[in-house]
Amino acid sequence: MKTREWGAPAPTDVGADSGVLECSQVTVLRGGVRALSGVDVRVSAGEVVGLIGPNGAGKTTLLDVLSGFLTPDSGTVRVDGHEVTDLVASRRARRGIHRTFQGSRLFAGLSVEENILVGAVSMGASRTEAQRHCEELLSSLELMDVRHQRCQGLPQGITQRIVLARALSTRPRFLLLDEPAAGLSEVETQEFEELLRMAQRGGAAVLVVEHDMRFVESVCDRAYVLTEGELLFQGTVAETFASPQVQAAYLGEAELTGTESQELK
Amino acid sequence: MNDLAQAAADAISSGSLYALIALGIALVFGVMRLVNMAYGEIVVATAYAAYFLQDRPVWIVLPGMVVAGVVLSVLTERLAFRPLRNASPTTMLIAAFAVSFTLQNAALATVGASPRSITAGASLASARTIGPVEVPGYSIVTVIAVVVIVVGLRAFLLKTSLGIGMRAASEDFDAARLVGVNANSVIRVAFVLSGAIAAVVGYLLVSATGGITPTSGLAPALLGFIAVVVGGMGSLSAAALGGFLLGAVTQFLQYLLPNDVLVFRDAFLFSGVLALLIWRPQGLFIRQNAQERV
Repeated sequence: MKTREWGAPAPTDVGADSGVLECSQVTVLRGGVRALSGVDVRVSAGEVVGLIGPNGAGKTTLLDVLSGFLTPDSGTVRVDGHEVTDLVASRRARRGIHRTFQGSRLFAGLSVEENILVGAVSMGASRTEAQRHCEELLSSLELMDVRHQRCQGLPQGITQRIVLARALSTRPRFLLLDEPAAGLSEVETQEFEELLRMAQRGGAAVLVVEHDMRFVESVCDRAYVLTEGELLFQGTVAETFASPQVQAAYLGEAELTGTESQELK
Repeated sequence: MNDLAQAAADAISSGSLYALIALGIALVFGVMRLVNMAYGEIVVATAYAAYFLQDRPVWIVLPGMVVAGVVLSVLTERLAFRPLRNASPTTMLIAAFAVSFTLQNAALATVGASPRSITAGASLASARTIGPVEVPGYSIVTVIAVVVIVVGLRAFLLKTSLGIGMRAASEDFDAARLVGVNANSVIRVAFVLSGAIAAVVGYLLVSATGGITPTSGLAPALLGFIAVVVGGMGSLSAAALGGFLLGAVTQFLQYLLPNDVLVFRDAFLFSGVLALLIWRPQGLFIRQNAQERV
């Protein structure tokens, strides 16, 4: 039997849609412009799905819709087959949806340990249980050395690990990551990929927005490509990268971005 | 020398009172970015509760005041501020002024404008001698109250799940909701604590002044705000330190200024506050790069 070290307690209902986060026909208008237009996306337990597209394609907007920070103008969001479109973010968090933001959005004045603890205790775990879970995350993400330090001013590599630890502290069943590899060195990115696979093995469904195509190629099973708020393509990672359509719309720019970020390092 | 010791004692006691008011204001500001201009009226309401519980023993009066403060504080949140939760800070500030005027006028309409004398805490008015200084009893109680409340709040914020959630929400409200912190309960707890502190402030205020009018809340609330601004918005300890500093500066101006300019004491004080804000707009005791949540 699969361990549930990272994942949530077993889903309560075991229907065909259990462990599935999906949205259908999601449209979001922003000042008359369609930020998203009839978008369908589906992620299931145990898979890592990439969400790629040029800047301004609506990737972060889609994460906002899925995580409850934005109510779409039309369309629905479902968790395990149940509609959650009108649930606010904290209620969705309790259904196991967790997202990260571009930029860490850590609680800067709290210690590393407290950042992780807040997720564990808020999800209703007892204090002892939360503390134990927190210790596990601190040690598996190699954060023991900095546990009592404030988050402010820690290096990017450590910050991204704290972001992931805080995300995992809520025992998410659906993990939505917004550019988790931004600012990481190559070695740090590889370590991060390994951590993500651990989350995946624990049964979490992961949707990841990322510009670093090597990262997408290496961790994702499938990918969705957004351009100008519309779904341009979906398929396996190999299919996606091979598609002339996608290459024309996006990959030229993405490779450029990849090279730039390499140079920055 | 004795004068100086006396000024120091007075500085500590009025600083403690300002620190308490500043804490009540900063607690709510921290989680909601609401500058609660109605805080003085909550304090006044608790004083009226003491008036209606006249001549009852302190163990009835004080809890009665706390209940009044907490209920009113939570009601203002529920009725006035919750619908505006996502509004701009300016909108919330104006709403707070509206709540403040509403409460003042409610007091005018019900108990009237004339001062009501309150016997609660009257025994605290008599002076006690400690070494070279003579201080009224309520000064000693104020200092004890601020110590107890600061220690209690600290323990709550550092050790309990709700407290850690509250600190997280003060840092980044959306990210806190995301890790499952319940926005409503965090905000409600802030208003509950703030209302309870208002009751303590109300008790100390009536023991010092012996009475209350509907507008009695203005001056202490204003000083509380200045304390918060001077210390730094967004941090409880900064707000409390701001309160102590304000108390100290007020009392030492009182002590140092010659008699003929003493009437301008507050002008000196507020000029100092203005100069300080030009120099350090974020407040004295706040991290340089702490950003206000938008």
